[in-house]
Amino acid sequence: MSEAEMQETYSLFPGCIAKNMYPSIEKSTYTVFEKIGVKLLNHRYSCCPAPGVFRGYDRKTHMTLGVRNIVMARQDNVDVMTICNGCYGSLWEANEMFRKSKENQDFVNEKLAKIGLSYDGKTNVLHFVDVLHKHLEDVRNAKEVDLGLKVAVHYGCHYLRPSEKHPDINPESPHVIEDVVEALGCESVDFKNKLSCCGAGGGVWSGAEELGLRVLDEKLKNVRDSGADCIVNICPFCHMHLDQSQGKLEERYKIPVLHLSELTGLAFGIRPKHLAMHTHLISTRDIEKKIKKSKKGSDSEE
Amino acid sequence: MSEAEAKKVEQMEEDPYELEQFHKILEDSKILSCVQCGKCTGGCPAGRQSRIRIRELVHLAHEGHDIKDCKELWLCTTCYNCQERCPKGVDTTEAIISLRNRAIRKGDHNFPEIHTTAITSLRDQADGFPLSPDVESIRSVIGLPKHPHDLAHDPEGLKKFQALMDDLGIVELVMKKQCGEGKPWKYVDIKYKPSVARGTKKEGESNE
Repeated sequence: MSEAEMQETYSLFPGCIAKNMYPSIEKSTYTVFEKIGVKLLNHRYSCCPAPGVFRGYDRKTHMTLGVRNIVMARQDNVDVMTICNGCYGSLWEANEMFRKSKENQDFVNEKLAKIGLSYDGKTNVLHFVDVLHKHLEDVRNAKEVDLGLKVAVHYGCHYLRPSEKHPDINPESPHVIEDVVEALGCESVDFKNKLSCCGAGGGVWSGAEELGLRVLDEKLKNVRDSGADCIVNICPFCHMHLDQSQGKLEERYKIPVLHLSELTGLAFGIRPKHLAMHTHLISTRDIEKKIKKSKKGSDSEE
Repeated sequence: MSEAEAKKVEQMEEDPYELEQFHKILEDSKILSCVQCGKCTGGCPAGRQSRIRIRELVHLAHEGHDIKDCKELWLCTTCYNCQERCPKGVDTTEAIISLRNRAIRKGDHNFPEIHTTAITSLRDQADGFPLSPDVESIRSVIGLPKHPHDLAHDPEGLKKFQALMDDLGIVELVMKKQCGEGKPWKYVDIKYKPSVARGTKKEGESNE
């Protein structure tokens, strides 16, 4: 039996933004999954490719480049685990398009053959939050501090929709991220239009910036009204828009934004400095102070 | 775009392949089942903040109008609210994406040209958002390899990837449209400059 079969193992698909802009997300992912006993491998991936641009321009190009990525994991007989809704949506759809149509299989394999690759459709594309959710008990066991934060959960679009991805989840009333943040000792607060878009997708972030900012402004207003300490997301692209575009708005919300892997890392006792939390544009120091306080509280109880 | 301005594909389209493709989009996305209830527009986050009206785009396509020139086509964030909520099962978001594909093939001059930077960046560096020296050093400090184990740092693999992209013709497709038919075009030397900070800028500083 190979090593991969003995331990739960996935190929980590970090995505451009996590590895090239928010290394804190990549770093916390490695640490968190190691602590819950899941092994992550690396493969030579390209951009997923970005669905907002490439799928909108040419679906077949998007599918073929997506499948090329999946083939890298297929060669080691492991499934792909994404930490971004954009990557997840891209690779999941490329995989489905490939699996569902003989014409697409022939098209992709003819292109891939020219660079010495082929694919049989057998690899699955997963989202890290589903893997974390499966390991909720391990998450509770690895937790070193009850964070005690009020968090505004932001699902982002392409984890939930199109809902064919998750037949078991009601896309109008999901309870996946909530379960994880509650396991970390956080309270998930409700807010208006909680499940709506951040405003960055579909090529709008770069192509129609003003619209993206207006949608973001509406979102942040609703989050602020909820009294949450921070936003918790599962998508570095949403994360980037929520964090970095805040400074472009007239209203200064200054709401900290954390990727779920970062939040989990902090609950597992990793020091913010070791996660490079300072790479966030909106300071996370208030959050860190609150966590420190919670930690002191739980230490003195013992 | 008003209905009066919109042209009928049936009368305008000279390319039989494209005419067939247009009908295929209507069929695949089940647009012909639309009853114009407006639920799509009611739940559209972009519609609340801009002039995109999914119901109107679907109506125009349903009536056989060509909406490839509609600027609104590029205002959808592809959030899929409309598609999830459509009581008639119309795949509205998929239709928007297919109509964007058609607009690109037909030479649409309304598409956001800034996207070409993402396309050339993908071909040159295999990433939509390339690594910067600032982040390289941050990666080292927090114990990650300075260079990610990715395609961008695998010269042999990158060459094959570029061959694949060239074979797919995406750069040519988009750049030709950008430069216009009949005009010379080449791999334009656009150095992608993301309008975002990289951990070196302080909060509140301009991101430009």
